[in-house]
Amino acid sequence: MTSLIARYRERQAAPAETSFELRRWLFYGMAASIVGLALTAGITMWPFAAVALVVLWFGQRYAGTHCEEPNPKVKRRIFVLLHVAFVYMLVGIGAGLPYPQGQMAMLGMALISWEMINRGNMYTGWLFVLANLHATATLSRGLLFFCPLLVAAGCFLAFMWTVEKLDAAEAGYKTIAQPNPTQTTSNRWWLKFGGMAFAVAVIVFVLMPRLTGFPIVPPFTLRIPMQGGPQGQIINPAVPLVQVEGVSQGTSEYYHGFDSRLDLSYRGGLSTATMMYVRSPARSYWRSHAYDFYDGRSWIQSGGDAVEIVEKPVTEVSFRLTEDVPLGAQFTQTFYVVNDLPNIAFVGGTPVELFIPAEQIAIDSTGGIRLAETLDAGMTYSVRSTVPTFNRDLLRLTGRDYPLDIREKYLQLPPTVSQRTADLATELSADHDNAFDKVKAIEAHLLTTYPYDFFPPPQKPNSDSVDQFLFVDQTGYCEHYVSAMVVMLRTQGIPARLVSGFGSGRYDRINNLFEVRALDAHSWVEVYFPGYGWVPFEPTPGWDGTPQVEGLGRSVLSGFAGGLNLPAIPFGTVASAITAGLSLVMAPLIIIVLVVGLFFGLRWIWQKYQTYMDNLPPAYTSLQEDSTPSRSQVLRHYRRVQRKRKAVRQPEQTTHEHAAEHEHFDELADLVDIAAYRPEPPTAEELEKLKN
Amino acid sequence: MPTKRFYRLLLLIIILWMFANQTQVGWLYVIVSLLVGTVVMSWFLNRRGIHSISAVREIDYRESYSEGESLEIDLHLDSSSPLATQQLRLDELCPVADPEEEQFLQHWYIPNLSIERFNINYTIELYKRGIFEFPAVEMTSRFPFGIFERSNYSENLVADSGLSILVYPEVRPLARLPLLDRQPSAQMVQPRAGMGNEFLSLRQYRYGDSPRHIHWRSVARTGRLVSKEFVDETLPGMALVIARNSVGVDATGDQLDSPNQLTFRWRRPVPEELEYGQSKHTPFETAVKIAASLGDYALRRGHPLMIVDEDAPRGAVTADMLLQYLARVELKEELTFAEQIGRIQQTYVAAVLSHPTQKEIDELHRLSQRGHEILAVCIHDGREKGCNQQLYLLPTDDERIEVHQINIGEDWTDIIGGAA
Repeated sequence: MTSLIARYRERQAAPAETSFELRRWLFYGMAASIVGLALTAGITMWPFAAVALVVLWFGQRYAGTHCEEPNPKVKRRIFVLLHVAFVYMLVGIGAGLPYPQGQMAMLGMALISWEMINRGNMYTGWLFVLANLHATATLSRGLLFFCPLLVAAGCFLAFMWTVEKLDAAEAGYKTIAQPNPTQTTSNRWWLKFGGMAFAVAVIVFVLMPRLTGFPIVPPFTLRIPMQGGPQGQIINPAVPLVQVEGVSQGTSEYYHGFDSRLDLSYRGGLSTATMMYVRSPARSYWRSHAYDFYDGRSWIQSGGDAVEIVEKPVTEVSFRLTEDVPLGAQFTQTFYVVNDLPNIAFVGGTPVELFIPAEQIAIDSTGGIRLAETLDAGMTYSVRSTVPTFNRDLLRLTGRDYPLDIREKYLQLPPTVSQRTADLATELSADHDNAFDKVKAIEAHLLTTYPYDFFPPPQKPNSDSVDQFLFVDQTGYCEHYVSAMVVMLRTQGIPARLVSGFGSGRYDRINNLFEVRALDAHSWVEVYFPGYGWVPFEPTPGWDGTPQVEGLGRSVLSGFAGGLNLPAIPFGTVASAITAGLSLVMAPLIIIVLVVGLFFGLRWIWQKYQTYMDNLPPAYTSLQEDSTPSRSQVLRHYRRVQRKRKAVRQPEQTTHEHAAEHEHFDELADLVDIAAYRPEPPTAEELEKLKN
Repeated sequence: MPTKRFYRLLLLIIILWMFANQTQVGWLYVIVSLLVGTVVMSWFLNRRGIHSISAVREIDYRESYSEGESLEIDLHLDSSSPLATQQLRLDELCPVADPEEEQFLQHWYIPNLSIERFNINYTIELYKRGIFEFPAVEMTSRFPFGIFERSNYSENLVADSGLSILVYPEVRPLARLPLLDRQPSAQMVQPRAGMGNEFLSLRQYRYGDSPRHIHWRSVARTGRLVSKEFVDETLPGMALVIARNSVGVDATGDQLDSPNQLTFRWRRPVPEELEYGQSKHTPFETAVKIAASLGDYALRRGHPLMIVDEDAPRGAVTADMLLQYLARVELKEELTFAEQIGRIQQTYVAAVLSHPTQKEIDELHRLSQRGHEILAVCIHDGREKGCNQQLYLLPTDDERIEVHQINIGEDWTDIIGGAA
């Protein structure tokens, strides 16, 4: 610690950096990061970016001109302004303003630029640039970020180039002027270097191993947690299409699968609006919940709104969804909600831990996670999951000893199910003696026999939806395929259920994001296998992807090393323990820090007061031991008047010399002399003059 | 050679990569890739760039160099590749320059080598006598961003790296020297080059030389008439002796004010034979100059000159031989003054004592008692504490010995015999 303090002091004592060339490159780099953040975050950020750029410009100019004799007042003002910006950020988070952290980052960097006195400070400035670029990278959804990134990188290299030049001069090297100066060679060199470095970067990008991550979560969330307790009812904020006689040709963001009831007679397309982005090292379907009860026309959850409430312990930063974490690889997904979504937490794989700003969540009977509020645009949450692995051969060996509760719930069939549906299922599975092959046979039949159609004919009254799909319309959308498969499996005594959620979405390799649009809303089948649990299957044709979790193979080496089977980063567990530990000690730590800060703050104020008193003209300091109130009253008044009239008496002046230079001090000077030197303190009559 | 900056960048790259794994932010992988690309290309360009530069040092060639003369030195830098290094640092050590002057060790920074050939020219004044070897020009590059540093000392970079030059000591022509002027000198032209039988040297044939003394081998080799020269035994010879015994000599005063500064600024090991950091304002260096001037006077007067030293040429020496010897002579610990002067046969003895002691004075006294005419020049280092006080007693009753005492910094030509 001592050496750290010594190094800090040494750094503070480093010579002032007077090179404006260096400051220019740093300014450009900082400006690029601010503009990049504003470009990425949107129009709401531009006013803050403009303010930050102006502050930055003046800051660098001030630091450059005053670096050898910085004004301590400016330092204090910057300190105060930084805290104002921080408070603004906290208020912004509470008020739901867009990206208050980003605004704080921009303004903070601009304010810090006033303090960039020496070269060490300037390197710190580049770390701020990096932090801003990271914030921008997190928000980036396209390729536009590449422009500010390249500009900032170029400025950084130019900065280093200039540092090299200055270092040589400081080391005593004498620069020899070139006889015929030209920029051509230098420009060509930069072009060659840029081209070659970029080529190497591309190769490195392709080859770079990418490991699965563990979410870095602060020990306390800066977001205001969701209010209220979670409820069993699903609230879908999207507006359903108005249907005329059950028919509609339009599209919307409303997916009827994100509701308490899934009506198979619903017709309508889904828009291409982006609903959320998912950052994940693995491709997966993003599951919401499942339906177990089929009534011939719709699916519902038999348990109704019954849910199990899970509370987050005070000492934890996340919800532990299961005590027995399944073995196998783990991966973490982070969901960035773009469009309002239902009060359901979407998850990939088998979730074991949920990081979300909430105090309570609820889990329904099918494993769906319900929240107290809908997922509003701007919400971010993370889920850590295990990757379920299924071995076909082992699944084939499973028996039919289903638990009673599984049999009761997931073999249910309504009387509307036709015999021909059961016959078709029997026919398809007749050649197979185990459940897995029967499932695959029915899945293959659905995948290859029926064309996909968003707008099949309307559901006929008093008809069974599955029967109409299989034998009448012979076309439909995913819920029809899934319903048909679940019903056919149940006729064969195999427990199955319909699951809704989103497909993987489009993968963007650069941003490492899955863009999930409204039309990625989807349903699929889960089949129960004793000893393994629920295994997903996909009977819908033309659907891109598979419900099984699979590694992305995002680089050559990650595929070589086995993709998701790469060892988990060891400090994942450590980070978890640290965050948990920090959570435990955070409250008392904050109190201790506040108390200590208050103590030192008061001490600092007291010292300042003492210094102020010590610097007062000698005539008054000599009176400090005499605490006669009337004397102190006169002297305080004298000081106040001096401050008010901006006519401070110099130490070498007597009160009357001072009064001779300034108006309105004559009588007061007499009184001050009385208070200072007369053995008797000022009388009440004399004090009365003060009021006049 | 990676610099600190490299390790800091490496740490940053690792942290960013781990952070990218943690947060799964794809752009962080892009930033990491760009940083790695920059580091890799910096390594490549740093390595390639320095090898694309060659340097040649050219020195104005002469048959002999004398202390105090000016010397012009040219450095030519050639870049053979468009990827030749920029931001080149050049360290030039010029051993023949005054160590206290800027030109002794020069540092140049060339920001942009955009032309094929770059010339650097500077002129120095030869500081002191000696044999000097120029070290290779040190070219260092931290190009392009100070991430790697590479210096090149290979021989092909400096064509003249093996060049060494011999600098003769300064000779101040004396107007007179009482030791020799007291004796009559031969005024007539001798019928042959020297009257004695001892061979002295070869010289160009002059009218009147005997054809029997023509050196036909040299004639065949050079195509010009060359005649042998013999010691002129009609004139008495002079023995020149410089006290070389360094036992008990405090040489700390001979060092420059900050001798370590050189090794600090010059990163390569300093060759021992170059005596860097040694000032020329020392008693011994003054003694060498005085000896050169005494010898020069004797030779100009036609006296055979013998150098009394085991490292000196045997027999009579020419002016060139004298200067070559004096250019190299150094203090020698194992050689006593008595051993040096024990073999003197010549009538006249000129002894230069750089660090005179009573013992050396006594030795000279004994020599004069044997009939030799002696000139003793005692040098005092005024910089040493107490050295301005005489530490020995001069023989007052000996007319054969003439003693001159000289303090460093004084114009000793007037003391000894006046400038010509």
